[in-house]
Amino acid sequence: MAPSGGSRRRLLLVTLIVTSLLLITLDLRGVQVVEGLKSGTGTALSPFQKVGRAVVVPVRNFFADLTHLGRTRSTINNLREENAKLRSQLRVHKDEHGEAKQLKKALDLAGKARYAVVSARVLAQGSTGSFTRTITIDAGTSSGIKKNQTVINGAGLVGVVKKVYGDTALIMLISDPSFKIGTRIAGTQQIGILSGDGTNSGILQALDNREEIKKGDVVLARGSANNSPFVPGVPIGTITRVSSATNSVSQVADVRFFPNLNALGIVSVVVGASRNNPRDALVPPAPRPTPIPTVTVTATPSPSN
Amino acid sequence: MSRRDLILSFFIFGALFIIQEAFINQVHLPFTGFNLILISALTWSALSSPESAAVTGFVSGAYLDLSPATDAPFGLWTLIMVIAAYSVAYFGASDETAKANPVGLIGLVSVAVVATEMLYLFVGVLFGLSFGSFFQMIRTLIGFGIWSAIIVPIITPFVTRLRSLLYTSSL
Repeated sequence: MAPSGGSRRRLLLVTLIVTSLLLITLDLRGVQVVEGLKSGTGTALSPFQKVGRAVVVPVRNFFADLTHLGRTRSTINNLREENAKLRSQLRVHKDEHGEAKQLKKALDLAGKARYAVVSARVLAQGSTGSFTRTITIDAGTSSGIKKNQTVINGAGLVGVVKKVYGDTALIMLISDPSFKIGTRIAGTQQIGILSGDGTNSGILQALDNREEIKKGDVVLARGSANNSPFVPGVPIGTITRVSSATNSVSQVADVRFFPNLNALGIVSVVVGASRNNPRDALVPPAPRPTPIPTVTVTATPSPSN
Repeated sequence: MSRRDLILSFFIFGALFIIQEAFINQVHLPFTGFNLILISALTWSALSSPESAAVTGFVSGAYLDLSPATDAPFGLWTLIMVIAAYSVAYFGASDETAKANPVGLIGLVSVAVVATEMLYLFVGVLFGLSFGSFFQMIRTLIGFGIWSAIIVPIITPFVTRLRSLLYTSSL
């Protein structure tokens, strides 16, 4: 006799419940099949979950951003501000690093010559509407600076103090067209007068022709009486070109200045010089030419048969 | 009938299982989110005969047990879902009543989801499972109820159409 609809329904229900209870029992008893089923499912799901993650995460982030829209915007603004501050600090640090390097060089040079110096930061360079070549520094009479004192940096002569105020001073650069200084050539001691010409080079006029000026000679400050306006021995530049006419009385040469006058950050004003003339002690060492490796290839002909 | 229900449930809930594990579980929804298999199985059962619903419950429960996130003994969800699906079908509706009263179907499934979760909690406690604090359990149950009320109206048309498509084409 076939079971009726109600008893068949009950039979199915009981079968399914018993099967479920059997599964629970098997799992609780630690049967490997059930464990394997679960771990196998996890392995099989893994690629789907990776795909799902790739799809869901951007959407989830989008909604999370929407939820935290105000907070996110404020975070972005804060980060932008912080970024701007850090960039500014980095610029300042770079600037300070460059200034420190310049200061070190200037002090090295001053120390070698036993100059007493007052170092100062360049506040302004040049002036629009005039042809003068000047800089303004942040040290003046309050720092012991006086008119007609020598101004140097790590590379050599920069200029001379033209005007002094309480906390600032105006320096005439050696490139100024009205700048003139008595010079001597390192080694030969040949004397001359150097004039600025508005560029990073000056014009040297030798006062005698007994020694020939050569390209590469180093020009130094001859020094003035009482070290004012110029202390002796300060490197000025190097001869780049000699152009003297055959019938001229004196030799004329172009001198390239040692300091880069377009990038002055820190300069030192010589407020006191030793009684001893440093002579050629401050002449910068000549740059060593970089050796160029050469390769010699010798071709040996193979013996012909 | 039962064999066909078994095969259909295997594929349908298999697909839902992948969707649940690969996508829905990765969306961090408030109030624990929802379980697509649970809601779909109870919706499907509400439209089925008790025998079919029991088979549907068995297969969907087995998938819930297979979920790597489940820490209950294997078979517990199967047991719960067999009872829940059978009960929903027994007390519930049919295709006609669902079409006539979709709000009633939504209410029935939403209540059934919460009742199923409560049953799971109860049986789980008997098996020594830990479900957190009482407040946490209440919060989760309310969340399930709310999510069910949201999801059931969305999936009911799909379930109804799929059912009619499968069962009409096979007749």
